[in-house]
Amino acid sequence: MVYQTDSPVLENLRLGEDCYKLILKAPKIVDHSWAGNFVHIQVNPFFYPLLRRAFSINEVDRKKGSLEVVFKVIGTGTGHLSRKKKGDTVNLLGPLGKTFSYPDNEDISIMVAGGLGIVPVYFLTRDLLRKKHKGKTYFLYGAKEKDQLYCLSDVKKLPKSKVEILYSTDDGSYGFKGYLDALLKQVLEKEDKNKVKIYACGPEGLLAKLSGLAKEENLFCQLSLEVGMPCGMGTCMGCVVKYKKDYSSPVTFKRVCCEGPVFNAQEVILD
Amino acid sequence: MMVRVAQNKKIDLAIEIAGVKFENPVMVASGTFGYGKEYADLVDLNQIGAVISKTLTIVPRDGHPPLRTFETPSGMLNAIGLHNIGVDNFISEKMKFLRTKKTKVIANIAGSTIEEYVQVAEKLNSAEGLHMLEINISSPNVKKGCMEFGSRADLTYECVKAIKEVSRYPVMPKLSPNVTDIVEIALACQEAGADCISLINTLVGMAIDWKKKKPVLSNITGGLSGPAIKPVALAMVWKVFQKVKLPLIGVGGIMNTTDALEFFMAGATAIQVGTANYVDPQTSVKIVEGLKKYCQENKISSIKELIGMAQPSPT
Repeated sequence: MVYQTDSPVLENLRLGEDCYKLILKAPKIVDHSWAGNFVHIQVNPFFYPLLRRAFSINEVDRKKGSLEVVFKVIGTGTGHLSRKKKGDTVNLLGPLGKTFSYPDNEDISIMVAGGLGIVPVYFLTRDLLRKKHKGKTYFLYGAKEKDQLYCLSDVKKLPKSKVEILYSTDDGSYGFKGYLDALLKQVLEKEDKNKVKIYACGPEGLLAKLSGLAKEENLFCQLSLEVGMPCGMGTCMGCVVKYKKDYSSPVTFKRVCCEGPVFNAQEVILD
Repeated sequence: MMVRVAQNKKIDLAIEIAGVKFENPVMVASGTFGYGKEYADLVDLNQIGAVISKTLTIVPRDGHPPLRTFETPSGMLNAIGLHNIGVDNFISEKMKFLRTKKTKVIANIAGSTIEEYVQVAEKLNSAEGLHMLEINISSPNVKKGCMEFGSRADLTYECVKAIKEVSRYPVMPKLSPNVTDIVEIALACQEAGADCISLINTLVGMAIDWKKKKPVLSNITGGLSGPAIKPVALAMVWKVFQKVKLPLIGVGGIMNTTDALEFFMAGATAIQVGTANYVDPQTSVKIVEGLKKYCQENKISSIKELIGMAQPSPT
């Protein structure tokens, strides 16, 4: 079920240079939201910018009926959103899209969070903790530099007894020096690949590498993709990704908004 | 002080086109509402005059590679390339749901050749619950068919006539604004036996990614829609109304009730809501309510009184 609601802004927190966390009250949407789902936000009602903006859900508070989105100001739409104040309302559609396939207790989960790609995998991790998930969980969080680990304080709050947290920065200013995929390979060497489930979101380059790795090593890996979506409802056919079910299937196009945004890494073609 | 309360008189929003009775004159435009069911959680389809399907072709099509859409000031570009499930799947999978709703159902069709248009129209003759065909002779995003026919009066005539000969449904060609004289194309439709005309489809446009130094869309050009094109659509409805006798269905950048009113006053018998569905899925339902309110407040008993109201009176 998809809902359309006018949602009051409960809080707008600045997380760093041009990065914000918006907390919105949307009980109906929250009741049906799981990790990987997104909301489609109308940033203002005056048709400029015209289209809604899609944001993965970062976290929910099911008791309060609130949800969080995290975004960086990259244009007019996110600029408008960054100026929302407590008490303003924004129109939401949600929850939209397919969720991650949650791991079983026997699985070893590896969350790969590149930059603001942290959002859906953070939600998954928090949800697993709430469900008292027993499987081993890694949380790999990387960015270009320490200042761009915008959600560091949230990640630091994850219980170390339940989640093994590893950091990477391209410049070595925090954690492992290098790219996230290199850090992931180090973890994979220690673990039984047949039991590993990788959940990832991040920049295109990272996801393309992970898609390649998943195909080469036949790994279970799910990617949450980010593209511009005019409708978010599967009608405009505007947000497609190249898709190939398996070796013998033809290349087709899948809509990221409703056939994703979560895809099996082995089935998408990211150039 | 006495306040005169508007009488709750019954407002008649119903219209009839070629024997099809629409509960109200608000339709949702092809390509912006999927096959109807996608929006069923959010929009009461019983309240919309008609749902127009995504363009259907004889076999399913995959469309163009990404990127297919791009937002522009007060508008958007799209070059989808007729990505659709094909006419057979529409009949077997989508009509069952649409039949359960009070809304009228219009199938939008296209082909690479006139023969293909005819084949799709013939197949739809067996679709129970369908009410009308909209003929896509105006999409600017495919190499063969569509705008190739709709930009020439002789080919428009040939295409519309061929479909009229086989179809059991009224036929509504959808016209392109990317022509020198849209009136000439509209007259060709009339001569070929079209029952009504919808106008306009999108305007050819493009965007360049200046950082990558190449066009944004994989198809290079796309079709511009949204509020940016409303004045163009309105002028075309105005012009065609003066020369063509067929009922006109106005489409292009309609976002709210006042936009819709302008189209009725220019000469439209009905209107279609397109890109606005992405912005607010409730737009069409809100316009139906808005029209009722307008009629009530202005003592207009039938929406038909508005058609062409702003046109000069015949001398």
